[in-house]
Amino acid sequence: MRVLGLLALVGCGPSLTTLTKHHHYREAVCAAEDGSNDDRDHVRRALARDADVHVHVALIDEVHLSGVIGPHARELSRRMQLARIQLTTNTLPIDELSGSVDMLGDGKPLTSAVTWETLAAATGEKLPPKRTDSTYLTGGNFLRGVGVFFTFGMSLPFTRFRPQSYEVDAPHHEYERMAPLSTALQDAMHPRGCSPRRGRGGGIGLACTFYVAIDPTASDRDVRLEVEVAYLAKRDRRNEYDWRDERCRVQQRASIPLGRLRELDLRIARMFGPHERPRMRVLRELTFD
Amino acid sequence: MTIAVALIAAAARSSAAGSFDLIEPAPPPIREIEEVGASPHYYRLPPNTVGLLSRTTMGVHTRLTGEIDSAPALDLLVGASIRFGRDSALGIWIEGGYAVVRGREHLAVLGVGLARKKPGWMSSIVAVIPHVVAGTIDGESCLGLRTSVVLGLPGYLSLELAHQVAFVGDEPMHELHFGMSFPFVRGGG
Repeated sequence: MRVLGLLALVGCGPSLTTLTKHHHYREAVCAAEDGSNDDRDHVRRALARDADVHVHVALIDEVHLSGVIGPHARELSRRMQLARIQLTTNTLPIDELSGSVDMLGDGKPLTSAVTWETLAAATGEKLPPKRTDSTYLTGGNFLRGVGVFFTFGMSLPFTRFRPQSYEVDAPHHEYERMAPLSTALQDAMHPRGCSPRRGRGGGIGLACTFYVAIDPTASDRDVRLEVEVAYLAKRDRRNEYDWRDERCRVQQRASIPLGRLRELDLRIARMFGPHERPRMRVLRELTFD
Repeated sequence: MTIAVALIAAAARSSAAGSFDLIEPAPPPIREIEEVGASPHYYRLPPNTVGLLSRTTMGVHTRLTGEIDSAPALDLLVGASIRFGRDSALGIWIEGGYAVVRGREHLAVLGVGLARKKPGWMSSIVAVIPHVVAGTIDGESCLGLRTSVVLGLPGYLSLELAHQVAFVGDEPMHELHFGMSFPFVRGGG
């Protein structure tokens, strides 16, 4: 802050206070990246105030599971605890936003992403094998094509375009046939991920839905929900040789204590409400750093 | 086994409303934060104000004797450009190197001048660079001044037009120098 303030004083750039006061966050994020820790803290605080990140956590218990996999819900809920975590922000004048969540138990990872493999391990199902496909759209074939073009086709008799093979997932109906429980769970977890929400003035906000699988065996661990939001602004290119898309970045992290894992359902119900209550305003009550 | 799988599939399908029926929490009121006034454009500019440059030019060197008296010339120069701040188009251009005119001149060149290049990508350069030149002209020692005007698109092409006055003994020798960058001029920042 002091450094940027000094620079502003000698007429080099606008002050950080002015930038955040007028919500010029694309500028402020780059100023923070180039500045000191104080500068970054200042911009983080302003972003936290304006982004107003909301988080909501819901555990997917046996009742919820039974709506999707019927009588297998009890068995599955013993092996795996699923949770849905939602994250939303206001729209901000920034180029990109990204959000991520994780749960830690005594500082160690407690969750894993919900993948086909995770679900199959919990349901005891076998997944269909991946299939091998091939394509001629490869870098090598492109170069060969360039060679043919520049030799006016004369190199064609000596050029062999080769396909490259790659693995793809089996089609959905194969998963449905071989792993119906996993497929039903996967299908129930849509939409997933983050979708940017565009504002009228070119701003961007986040609406994310994450699903995580919590290891239910670590019942004595102290659980914390880690939330991270990253704010990015595109930097101009350095010079005519710079083809990178460089982005300035400011990150915020919040760590929300959720108590012991065995009491997670009670704690989550108390913190985030029995569903019908609004999401908790994490930033208002906890410190992002 | 097949029957068991079919039963599981049927159970999954029958119950599969496709959702966990989690009651959606009331969405928070989303505010749209907008910029107050036009955004400045300063900190998004590249922070580097110093860039390396190299300039290899080929051209023609002509003596101003009233007759056509030209010879091919080659300059090999390296240096740096230093902008006066990240949003400043103006800066200092420093370069030095070797200049040769075939059969006539071998010169060491050192120049410091002013350049104007908008920050960012694909912007043109205009520079006025006075150079001190020292070496030999027609086998005799000389000291002189070459004043160059450089116009260019960095990375692609630059043109240089210069006037050189060199003193060989007490005699001033006026020459014109025209050069084109080959293969490139690199002006950093």
